[in-house]
Amino acid sequence: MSVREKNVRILVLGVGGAGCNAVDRIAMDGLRPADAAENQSGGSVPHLVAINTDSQALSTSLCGEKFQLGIKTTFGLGAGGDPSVGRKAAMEDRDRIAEMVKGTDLVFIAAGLGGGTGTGASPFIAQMAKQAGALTLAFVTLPFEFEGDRRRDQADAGLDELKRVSDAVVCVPNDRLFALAGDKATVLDAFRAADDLLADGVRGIWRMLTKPGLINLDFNDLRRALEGRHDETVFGIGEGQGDDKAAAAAFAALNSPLLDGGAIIAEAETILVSLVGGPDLGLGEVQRAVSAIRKKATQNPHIFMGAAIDENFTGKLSMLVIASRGASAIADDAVTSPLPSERELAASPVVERSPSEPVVALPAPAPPVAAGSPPRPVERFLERVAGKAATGKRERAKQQTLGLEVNIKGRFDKLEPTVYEGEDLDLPTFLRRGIKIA
Amino acid sequence: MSRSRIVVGMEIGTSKICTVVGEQRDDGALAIIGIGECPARGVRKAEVVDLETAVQCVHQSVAAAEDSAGVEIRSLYAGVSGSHIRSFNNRGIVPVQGEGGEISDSDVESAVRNARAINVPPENAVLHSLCQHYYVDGQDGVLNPLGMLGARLSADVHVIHGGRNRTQNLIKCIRSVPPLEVNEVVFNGFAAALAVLSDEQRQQGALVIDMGGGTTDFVVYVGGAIKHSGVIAVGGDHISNDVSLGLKIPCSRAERLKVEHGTVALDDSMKGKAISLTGEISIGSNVIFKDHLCQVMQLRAEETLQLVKRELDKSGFGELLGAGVFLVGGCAHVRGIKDLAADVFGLPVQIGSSQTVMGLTAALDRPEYAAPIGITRFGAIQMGPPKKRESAGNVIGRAIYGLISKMRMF
Ligand SMILES: Nc1nc2c(ncn2[C@@H]2O[C@H](COP(=O)(O)OP(=O)(O)OP(=O)(O)O)[C@@H](O)[C@H]2O)c(=O)[nH]1
Ligand SMILES: Nc1ncnc2c1ncn2[C@@H]1O[C@H](COP(=O)(O)OP(=O)(O)O)[C@@H](O)[C@H]1O
Ligand SMILES: [Mg+2]
Ligand SMILES: [Mg+2]
Repeated sequence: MSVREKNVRILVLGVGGAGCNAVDRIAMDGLRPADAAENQSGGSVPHLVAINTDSQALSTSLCGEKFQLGIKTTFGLGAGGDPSVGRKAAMEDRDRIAEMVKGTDLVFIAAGLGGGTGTGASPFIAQMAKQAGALTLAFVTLPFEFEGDRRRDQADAGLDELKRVSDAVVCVPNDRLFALAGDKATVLDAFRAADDLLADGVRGIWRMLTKPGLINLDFNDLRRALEGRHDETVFGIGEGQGDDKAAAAAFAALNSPLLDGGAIIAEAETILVSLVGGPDLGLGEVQRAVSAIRKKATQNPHIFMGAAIDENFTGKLSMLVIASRGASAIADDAVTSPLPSERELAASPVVERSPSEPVVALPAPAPPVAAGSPPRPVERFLERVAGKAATGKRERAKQQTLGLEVNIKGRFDKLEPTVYEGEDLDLPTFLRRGIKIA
Repeated sequence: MSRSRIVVGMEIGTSKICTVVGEQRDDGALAIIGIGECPARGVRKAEVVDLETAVQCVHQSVAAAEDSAGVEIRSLYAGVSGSHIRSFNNRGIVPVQGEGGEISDSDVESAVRNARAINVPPENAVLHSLCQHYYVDGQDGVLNPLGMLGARLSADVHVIHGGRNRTQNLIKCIRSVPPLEVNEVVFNGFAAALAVLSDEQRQQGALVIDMGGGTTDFVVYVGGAIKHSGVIAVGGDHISNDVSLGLKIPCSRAERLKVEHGTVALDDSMKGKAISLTGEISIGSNVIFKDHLCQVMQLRAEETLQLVKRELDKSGFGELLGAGVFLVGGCAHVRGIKDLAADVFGLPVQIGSSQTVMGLTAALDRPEYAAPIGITRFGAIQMGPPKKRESAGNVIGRAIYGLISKMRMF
């Protein structure tokens, strides 16, 4: 069997500026350079669509398929940061959206929450995808603290709505990415990290569904693992090489900030573990990798697991872990931390922090080193530890960006900031709007 | 020409410290006879952050103005701006105390005082209380209630106030150059409007936007009276800073690129077009593309105008601006900004020129001089001639005098 699950139709939708950038990222890198050959063979190659109300932004998208949303509502000018306009734009194109999602099995929706289009249109599109019978997964970012109260409130409202209408929502606060990207990071670096993250997630799942497997994990497993997981879904990817690549991959995945050294796994009700190794992958290794994850679980979760073979992974092992908590777990907060890209997972020393110590900024990620080396700093998932109080959360976000604003305010550094409705206007407009220059 | 006829206004701007010398004729008309200018240092977002450095610039600016006009400057009117400036509208109501129910000067004064009494935080001082109109026993639209009969007098007042310490810093900076004294302080935005709007335009309704280096000051006139005013501490420096960060080039280069090549009117022809500064050879990765430069500029300029639009919408007077929008300040030079503003406001837009005064015509047409010229005009109005005062002048004078005398005490 060369390509499994031939009939699984996957749709990856980027909605709004940020979403389109993320999907562009996938279009640009391919699902992985080596996958290109297979891409041509048809099968479950995801279909990428860039959806935006902003025709100018859309015209620069690299996606093969572009979907101009709500031309009558926005005249191609974007939603101007107003989610009600984004929603109206989506409603205007209800029929075309229905046509697009018809007959698909799995729909990924990527969006940056906080603006007009992504925030307003994504829930509507997710709902239509769901109605069409697709397993619907949303990958979204939450705005930076400095983007202001208005954007944050809009994003929160959009997130709530998305959670109601899609199967699972993976949610990444941008401030978090910023901290992860290191001291010298610019906002664009953080956006890139978000784009990478979304791309990694899509790739990981795509690989799981399409590669020939030692142990098959099919679409129905994925569906069972994720369906109706409105509340909190996180995922992490780790890679290991060398003799003990199973342990290294598991260690890296578990210590990814998203999985919080296993803390989330402990509370998870469903865990999906998907391994991709080379033809040299043995069952013993698979077992070791999975039991490393299983050991962290305390809620007797339902574990789905699979192992696929890909020649490009000879001598390596990549592990994707998706953990979900059901609706009962925590009702009001699906904010999860992001996970680093595979490259970042590879390296840097362990820094132990006490659980309550706020994270200000992390050291810049060290260059990747060989397998088996200690994982990157263990980040504490503070929301979890410190409780869900909104104030605590905001404070934390502020602290995280503190050290970094210095680099992005140029000549207004150290001056009293110009704040308008919670938004720091000294930061370049293009950064706050998430528009890439050059 | 007697010395008392000379009126001087100074704007300590973020980009330049500008001193304007005016000569007031017997009929009250004002002619600009000299201008001195010095690039500002030690000023950020229209506020003095480095006193010593700023004092040197004040000195140079005044010296240049003295040379230019051939006069010696001893006292002047000073413009103030910055994020601390706030405004509100309020109504003051008082029972008429005047003899036989005849409204007296002091009735008017206490109505106005009553109107501005509340809402000003202790750290702020009132800069202007500008009467919009009066009501006598509920009768609407009274322009001058003096001498009218009534039991109750109400005054609608637009109050502009600002941080005490911050305003004081400005005064201190000027007074550090002997023998300079500050007669009064005026809000820059108000001053700019005094320079560019005719009486008729104020009646028709107009929005004046002074976009300078570090702030964007605005005032809204409807039916001849100020209805809204404010400061958004964003200006041309922000455009340059965005360019510097967006294109990863030093600030000075960003500033020059903005002025030499920048426009906020984007079109397809600029795509991929490499640009360079005169006298500069660009090599390799050093290449700057025009579309990148202009996109960064356009985003900031549009956002800033949108913020003013939002303020206008909040005031609820957006529909009443028959004369449209007047853009002044250095940023009025930004290519394409007039059309951009017209798009944003959906109103006719013009670059304001100082049409209310005479004199150095080259200066009158330059939008960056509107505020300092307006400050000078404000001074002229304050000084007389007594027979022909602006209706608001009286009140303004007193309100500001109050501030100054308080400040002098320190
Ligand atoms: N990951 C990522 N996030 C971005 C990017 N650009 C912006 N964002 C974030 O996404 C949020 C929404 O911005 P956009 O996607 O530009 O907004 P939009 O959905 O296109 O909405 P309108 O422009 O109002 O029509 C912002 O508040 C940022 O937090 C990007 O390139 N990558
Ligand atoms: N030709 C021009 N093109 C673009 N920007 C300009 C031009 N001339 C002046 N500016 C900008 O206008 C601003 C200064 O405006 P000005 O009103 O003189 O400032 P201030 O009153 O704050 O000292 C600066 O940011 C400057 O870059
Ligand atoms: Mg957009
Ligand atoms: Mg100015």
